Amino acid sequence: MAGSETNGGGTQATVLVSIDDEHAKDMAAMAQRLGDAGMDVEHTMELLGTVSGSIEPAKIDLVRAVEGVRHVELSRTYQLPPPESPIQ
Amino acid sequence: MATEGEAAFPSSQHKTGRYLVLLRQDAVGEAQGELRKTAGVRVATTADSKTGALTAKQREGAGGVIFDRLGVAVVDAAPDQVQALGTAAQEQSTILAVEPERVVYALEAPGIPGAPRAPLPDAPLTPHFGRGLSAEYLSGYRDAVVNLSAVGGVPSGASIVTPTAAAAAVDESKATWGLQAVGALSSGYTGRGVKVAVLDTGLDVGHPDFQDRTIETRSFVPGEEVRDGNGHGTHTIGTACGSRIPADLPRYGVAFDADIWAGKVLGDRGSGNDEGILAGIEWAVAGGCAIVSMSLGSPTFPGEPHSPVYETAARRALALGTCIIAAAGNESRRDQGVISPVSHPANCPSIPAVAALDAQLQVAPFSNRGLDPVGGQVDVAGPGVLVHSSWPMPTRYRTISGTSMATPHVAGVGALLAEANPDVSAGELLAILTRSARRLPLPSTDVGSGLAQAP
Repeated sequence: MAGSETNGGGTQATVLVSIDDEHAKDMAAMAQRLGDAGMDVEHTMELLGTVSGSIEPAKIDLVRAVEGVRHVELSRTYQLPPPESPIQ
Repeated sequence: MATEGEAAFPSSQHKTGRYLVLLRQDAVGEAQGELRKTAGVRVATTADSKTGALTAKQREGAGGVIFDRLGVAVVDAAPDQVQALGTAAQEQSTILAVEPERVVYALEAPGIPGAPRAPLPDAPLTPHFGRGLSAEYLSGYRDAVVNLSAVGGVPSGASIVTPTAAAAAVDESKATWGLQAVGALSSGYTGRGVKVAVLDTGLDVGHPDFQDRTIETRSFVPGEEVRDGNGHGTHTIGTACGSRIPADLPRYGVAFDADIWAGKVLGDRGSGNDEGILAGIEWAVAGGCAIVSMSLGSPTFPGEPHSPVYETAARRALALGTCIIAAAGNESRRDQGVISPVSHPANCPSIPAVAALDAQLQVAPFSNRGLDPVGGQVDVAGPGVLVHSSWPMPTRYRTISGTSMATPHVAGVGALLAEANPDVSAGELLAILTRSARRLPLPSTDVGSGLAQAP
């Protein structure tokens, strides 16, 4: 689970939000609605119909409840082995 | 006209004595007249039937039938009529080809192909237990449990015997073994006109082997430039798209004429997150990239379902013309009895997972397996052991292993296939990729449909 400190001192979670086909036709409106629900929207991906950003974990259910939201997931992190590793 | 009683030629065991006639699809309507005119064969046609099937009455007296929608006729024909049909097929005509009709048998247990089968014995071939569980099912179940317990660190009690025979020598003086294995050298395709995105640690844009290429770059790592300060990205881009004439041999790139889209989604220290990766995918799709190569993964545990967000995104990308492929992952240690499931996001059904093979076309010991029935399958395999490719200067080149190295081989093959099949959808391209793979005598859970092959 990825997490980061916010200016307010609480820990926010980075989330990925997938929008259903119908609402994905107006991603700008969806990004606005997610922002209103408490999400700090970072990226709005028009073609993929996906929004990413951060939110207080306690508010994730508010994001899920927004009309048009189909899936909400926590963003995963990746780590390659060091460059000198034989297997990468 | 031959009747059913007269054999046109001494019929072999597997021929009926009749002939299949392939008709030109835009001229099927004329075929009835053409068959009569050319060969004196009078046929009925399913064009006269709404259901596509003729009644006995409709077939009465006819020497054959035209299957109107298929553009194929089955006819009784005497030798001179067959000859006339054959001649017509050679000239520009409604008739394209003629071949003998075969006898076809239901397939049962392996035996002599074409021989009639004996009826099923009363006893089933595999022993069944009271609740309908066959011995085969139970041994498969046992193997799955053994695999799972090995992943969990429980000693299996079985030892894995690894082959100790010396590997056959591979000649890499002119081209890497990987390029040879995927058939890149003999392909007439180069990736010209195809955009290939590689989402990784970026690219050493100053590397001499990339100076004459069309390259788009973008960093999705806050605070970092796209220039590769790690190496992984330069290596994978080299494999997918490296130069036909690198500064030093061997040649190491599959699609040497493709447009390179280098998206940095992993930082110079090799770390990244879904946010950056999805943003990179969006960029590649918006740019019209046919292929997105992702040599990255996050370990999954057995039974873990795939990401609905990535699956949805991948389907939307496919609909927009972009195939995303990803590495199956390197967590396995098969020589120690550890086999891990396919990583995220390659475990998504719409993101083909690429496994790694060595130069003897054996599964690499670190290559993950499709343990998971829910989405996490291996789809195809590529060269992934001891892969020579570009590396940031001044090192210039490096040989490393990984499903990370197999993936860009397949991405490069995908680019060649895109060039060879300009009018197919992205979904169809993936179907071509998997169906044209070279089948291997290895479990499909390990290699999918086999070793990807260039057109």
